[in-house]
Amino acid sequence: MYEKIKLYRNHGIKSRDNVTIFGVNSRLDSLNAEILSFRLTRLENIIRKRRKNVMLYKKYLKTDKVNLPVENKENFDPYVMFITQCKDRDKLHKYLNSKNVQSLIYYGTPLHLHVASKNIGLNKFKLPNATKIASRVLSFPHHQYLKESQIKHVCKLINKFYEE
Amino acid sequence: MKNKVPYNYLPFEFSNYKKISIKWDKLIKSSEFTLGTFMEEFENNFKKYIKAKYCFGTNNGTDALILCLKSLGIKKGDEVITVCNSFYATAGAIHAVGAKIVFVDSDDRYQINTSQIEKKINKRTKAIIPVHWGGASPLMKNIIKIANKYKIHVIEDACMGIGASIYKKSPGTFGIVNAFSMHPLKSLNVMGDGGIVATNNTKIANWIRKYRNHGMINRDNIDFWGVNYRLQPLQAIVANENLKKIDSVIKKRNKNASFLDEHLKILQPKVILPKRLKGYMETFALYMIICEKRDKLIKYLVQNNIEAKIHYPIPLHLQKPGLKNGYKKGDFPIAEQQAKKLITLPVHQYLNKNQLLYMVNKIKQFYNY
Ligand SMILES: Cc1ncc(COP(=O)(O)O)c(C=O)c1O
Repeated sequence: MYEKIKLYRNHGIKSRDNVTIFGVNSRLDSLNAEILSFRLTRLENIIRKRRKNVMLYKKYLKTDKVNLPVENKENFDPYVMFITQCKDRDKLHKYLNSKNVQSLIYYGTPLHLHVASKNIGLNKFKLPNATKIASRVLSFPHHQYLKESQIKHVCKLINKFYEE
Repeated sequence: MKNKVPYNYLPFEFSNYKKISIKWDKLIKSSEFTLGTFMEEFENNFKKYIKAKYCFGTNNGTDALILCLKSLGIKKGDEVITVCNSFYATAGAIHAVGAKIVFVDSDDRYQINTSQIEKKINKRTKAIIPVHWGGASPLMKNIIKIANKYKIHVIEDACMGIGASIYKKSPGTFGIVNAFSMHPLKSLNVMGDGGIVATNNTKIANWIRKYRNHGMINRDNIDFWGVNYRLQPLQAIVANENLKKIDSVIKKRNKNASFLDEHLKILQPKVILPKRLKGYMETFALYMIICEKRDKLIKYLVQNNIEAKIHYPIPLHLQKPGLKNGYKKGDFPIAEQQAKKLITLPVHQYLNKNQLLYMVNKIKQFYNY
């Protein structure tokens, strides 16, 4: 696999004048590789902060209407996304927006219900879990540049929304 | 050992990137790291430059070719005709969409041999991919005529052709949908990989716009399953800056090429220059001539610190995957002869007259002229 991928991503070039397969150009360029090398030195720190932020959500959210992601013992979640499931998701989404808190839906339509699926007959599948989850998912800000006070503020708004 | 006449000019090319880095600062502040205004600005400028209706920045030239093929629905069971002396990517793109690669021979300008195309056309043939090989253009008029006669598409591999023209008309504006590369060694280049697709066809453009970006209509809706073949804004900025210089780059390369032509033509028939057709402006991505005792000559030049190259010693049909497809030695005699005799001389915009003269004199010395 390693050998095949190495060849295929660079036109199948074995040496300058010889190809062993007709491949494609799917390589990372050095400019981006350099940026990534640098970013990699920051990665652990970023993940630590994101995990801490998720902990803070757990601490400050005082409602059972928001289900936070559960981490199993064998999983370590870097929280690229922080996807929660919320009752009355659309209303909460609107409410937070009106209070200048950005929240995002990943995603409102599951893959099998897109036009793209319909056109190739994939919408015939009944996938009730995915469909239900798509109506409940919401992501709150959790990135590494947030302050604790900001998360506290978001939680306060969410708590208040469900109290009312 | 330092090269007196280097082939690789990239150390000079990006030695001063101040203007680029000012734009990068702007990009970083704007956070428009995918698609966005920086990429659109380049697409618009390029569109004007080649006089096409639609242009799309892509990952690279190979993906641009794949996009072209896919946009025409070319797939397994279809056949695509192309020339057997090109870069691997021309064949690789056809293979990547599952279609059968049908090679034809080259002509005496190392371009697709238009007299050999018709006999390769059958009912599975969907397209011809002429290559602007080395930055010279094939006989596009003939190719379009054949394509129209058999109702098949023309996709130009104009990867080396940015800045060339046929009677003022740019490569990548003859075929229905066409590909360009901005690889560092192309006439318009970025600091890594980059490519462009151009078309005048609105339906194709609308498909490519979405397909290149996951089939997205907007964040929450897709029209069909797509991929990520986008040009990075980081590279679009480099391309945009270099686009401003392209005409002077081409002019300088043409000047150098004329100088070489002028001094080498007395060596005929030991050295044979390709015909320079009237109305055809070349980019001189590759300055190629046919030479007697080629292998000895290239050794001699390299020994004398002249970085000459061969593009390429093995034509596509004789590469391992070509042989696997059933091709064999003798199938394309012109290209096979050229593979044995062609040499590529440095001709880039950073060479001065002394370097060119030094090179010419060494070649003359080699032939005892
Ligand atoms: C004729 C030709 N086709 C396709 C390509 C592929 O372009 P890229 O390297 O940008 O993928 C190149 C250049 O590398 C080329 O010269």
